[in-house]
This record gives sequence, C-alpha cells and structure tokens, in this order.
Amino acid sequence: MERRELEFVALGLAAILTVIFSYVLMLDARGRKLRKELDRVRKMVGGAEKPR
Amino acid sequence: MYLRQVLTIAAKDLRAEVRTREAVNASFAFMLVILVLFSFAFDPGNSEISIPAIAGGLLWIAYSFAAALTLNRSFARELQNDCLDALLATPIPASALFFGKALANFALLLAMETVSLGVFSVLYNVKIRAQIWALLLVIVLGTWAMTVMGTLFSALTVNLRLRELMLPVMLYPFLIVPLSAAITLTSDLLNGIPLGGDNILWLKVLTGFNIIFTSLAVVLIDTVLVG
Amino acid sequence: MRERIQYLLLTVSAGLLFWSLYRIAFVLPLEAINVGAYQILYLHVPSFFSAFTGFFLGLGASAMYLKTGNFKYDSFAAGVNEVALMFATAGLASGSIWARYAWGVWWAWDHRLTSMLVCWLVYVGYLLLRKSVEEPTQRAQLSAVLSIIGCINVAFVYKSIEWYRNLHPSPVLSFRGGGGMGPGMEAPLLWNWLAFVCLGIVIAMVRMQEGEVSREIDALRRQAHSY
Repeated sequence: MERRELEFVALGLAAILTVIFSYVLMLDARGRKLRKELDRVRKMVGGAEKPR
Repeated sequence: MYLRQVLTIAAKDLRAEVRTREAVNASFAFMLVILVLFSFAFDPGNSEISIPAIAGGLLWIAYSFAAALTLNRSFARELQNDCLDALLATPIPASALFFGKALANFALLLAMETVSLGVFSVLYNVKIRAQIWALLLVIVLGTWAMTVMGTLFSALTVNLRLRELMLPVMLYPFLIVPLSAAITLTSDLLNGIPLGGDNILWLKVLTGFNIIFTSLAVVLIDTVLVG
Repeated sequence: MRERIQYLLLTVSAGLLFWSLYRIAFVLPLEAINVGAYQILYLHVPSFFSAFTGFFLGLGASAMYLKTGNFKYDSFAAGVNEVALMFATAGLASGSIWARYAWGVWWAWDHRLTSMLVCWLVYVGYLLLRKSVEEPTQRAQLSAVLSIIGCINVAFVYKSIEWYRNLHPSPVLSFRGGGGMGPGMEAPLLWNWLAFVCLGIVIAMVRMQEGEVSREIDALRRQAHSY
C-alpha cells in the first residue's frame, strides 16, 4: 500500500510542477518574442526620425 | 423621465424585432430543434428514464441556447449604419439604454419560452397545468437572470471579431448559478413538489443573483459601452 | 531593486517548499485524516488558496483601474489573474490525480470540483477576451469589468453548488470549521500557501514586465503610424 500511495503523491507533485514549469517556459518564450518585437519597432521608429 | 427613456428604447427594439421577426424566428426554430434533438439523446419511451426528473434540465438547456442566440443580436444589431454610436450620443444614460434593451430581450425570450413550454409538455408528455403559476414565476426569474447577463455580455462583446463565439463562451459560466437554481425548481415543480420548504433556498438564490447582478450591470454598463 | 525582490521572494519560496517537501517525505505519518495519499493535499490546497488570492487581488486591481484609469493597475490585474489561473490549473490537475487514487475516477461532479471548473472557465474567458481586443484602453476596461463580475460570480457559484452536491471532503482545517488535522500538521499547509504566493508574485512580476514591454510596443507603433 505504501508504494502505491507514494506513486500517486509523486504523480500529483509532478503534475503541479509540470503546470508551473510549462507556464514559466511559456512566459519566457513570449517575453523573448515581445522583446524582439520591441527592438524591431524601436528600430523602425528610430529610423523614421532620422532626417531624410 | 428615466422610465420613459427605458421604455422608448425597449419599444424601438421590440418594434424592430416584431416587424422583421429575424431573431425570433431563428431562435424559436432553434429551440424547437433542440427539443426534438433531445429525444435522440435518450429514448423517451424507455420507462426506466424518468422524464420529469430530467425535464427541468432539458427545458433550461433549450432556453439557454436560444437565449444566447437572441441576446447576441441585441447590441450587434446596432453596429450597422453606426446606430450604436448614434445611441451612445443621445443624452440618455447608458443604464437606460441597457434596461431598455434588456426589457425588450426579456419580453422576446419570455414569449418564446412560454410557447416552447407548451410544445415541450406536448412532446414529452409532461404535465404542467398543476403548477403553472409557480412554473411561470420560476421561468420569469430565470429568464431575467439570462437576460441581464446576456445583454451585459452582448454590450461587452459588441466590438469583438469573434462575437458569436465569445458571447456564449463567456456567458455560460455566469449562468451556472441561476440555471442550476431554475433547473432544481422546475424539476421539483414538474414532479409535483410545490414551492416551499427546501425549494425556497433556490428561489432565494435566484432572486439574490438577479438583484446583485442587475446592480452590477447597471454600475458597470457605462464602462463597457462608453469607455 | 526589482530583481533583488524577485530573488528574495524566490529564495523564500524555494526554502519553504523544500522544507515542507522534507517534512512530507520523512516526518508526516503515512495516513491521516482518514485519507490516503493525503500528502498531496499539502500542495493541492495551497495551490487553490493561491489561485483565490490571485483572483481577489485581480478584482481589487481591476476596480482600482476603473477608478483611476492608471494602466499599471491593468498590468497588475492581467498578471495576477493569469498566474492565479496557472495555480488553479495546477490545483485541478493534482486534484484529479488524487481523485483517481482516492475515488477511482479522474473527475466527479461534486460542488467544489464543479465550482472550481467554472471559475477556471471564467478566467480562461478573461484571457480570451484580452487576446481579442487590440485597443489597449478598451482591452483594459472590458477585462476589468469581466474580472470584477467573474470574481463575484465565483463566490456565488461556490456557495450555490455547495447546496447542490456533496462528495469532496468537507472542511477539515480548523479555520474553515473542521476539526483540524492534528497537532503540527496544519502549519505546513499554510506555509506552503505562503510559499506559493511568493512564487506567484515573482511570476506575476515577470508577467507585468511583459505587459510593460507590450505597451511600449503599442505606443511606438502608434507613433510610427502617425507619420
């Protein structure tokens, strides 16, 4: 009985950790994409301000 | 004065709907189709399935599907020809606009539901005459809950691209409380148990929900519509 | 400064969690409160407590945004609601696994599970709404309204479904009206809640930084389009 309980407890722990880690990873990926976009837009606007 | 504003808006919406009968026809037909479809979900002739026990659930699911269709159009109808902007530019308060539309929707939904109730009792052989007034009271309370939430969400989603999809997705979790109360009450009534005793709790839940969320809608409608 | 707060909170959180994991693995008895594999509760329950903390903070921040119009509140609300949704997902997942062990099924329609699922749906709707509105002010306003009515609705759903069904273990913690878990066993649960809240704050801060970046992008884009 002990073994089975431990398995389930470990599974539950793994579930929680998986959810938290996947969210953090997703946040990280999204943040990277946003920062790239920010650089791109900054360059675009910065370029438009240069005198022609 | 305020009442007159509300009634003017309600009359305008009702007149538009009665003259063209677009939404009413479609929603009513949809409700009938759902009622027929339910007969395929289970076997009505099977004596083991007690229809009065699940009748409340069937009825209110049909009502809520039809409500989502009708309420969607409530504000969406105003998008053509910039009618919404015109309405918002008039000097009536946003809450009057909201109540007017809610009243019109309420009237339409009630009309459809009463007719469907008759159809339902015929199709599924459910006796409604014994408790008809209590039943109508529950239907009125439940429909007001659906109307208030649905009109609020119609205003909220009016400018979204995926309006027809977003409204039901956001609306139904909010209807769980009034629907479960209405379903419990309706099932009890259809089974011959009169209102009173245990049921009063659900009546209180339904009324409480209506009062609280109507007030919330009135407070927040300004932000939603005008910004 | 901000980074230092984040590191501090992360250390506190990690420390508390490791300490409690140690206790779970080596100190706590194998069976207690008549429930097997109960150790998972030390993570499942704090997960939901943190989720509710987040949703209430979101309610407050949304109300503050509607009152002041300051976008920092909108960023905070978005971040906190998203992180709270993450904790809710973690709670639902761990609860489902525990249910499989204790009841033999992955899901049951008792009141706590149903109301938690409804709550989850409401805030998924919140995220969907934020994604579908592009204009920042409108997005902030509409999602603030949804956050407010959503949180209030969750309170309603919770109470009403409690009267509707019953299977989930009744309150056991002493401050919830139950008999308590036994000496020294309740504290780790509350410490874990603190740990999760700290972790949640760190993640929410990261999410808010993202919000600021995205607002800067919007502002720059508008500037670019005005040439």
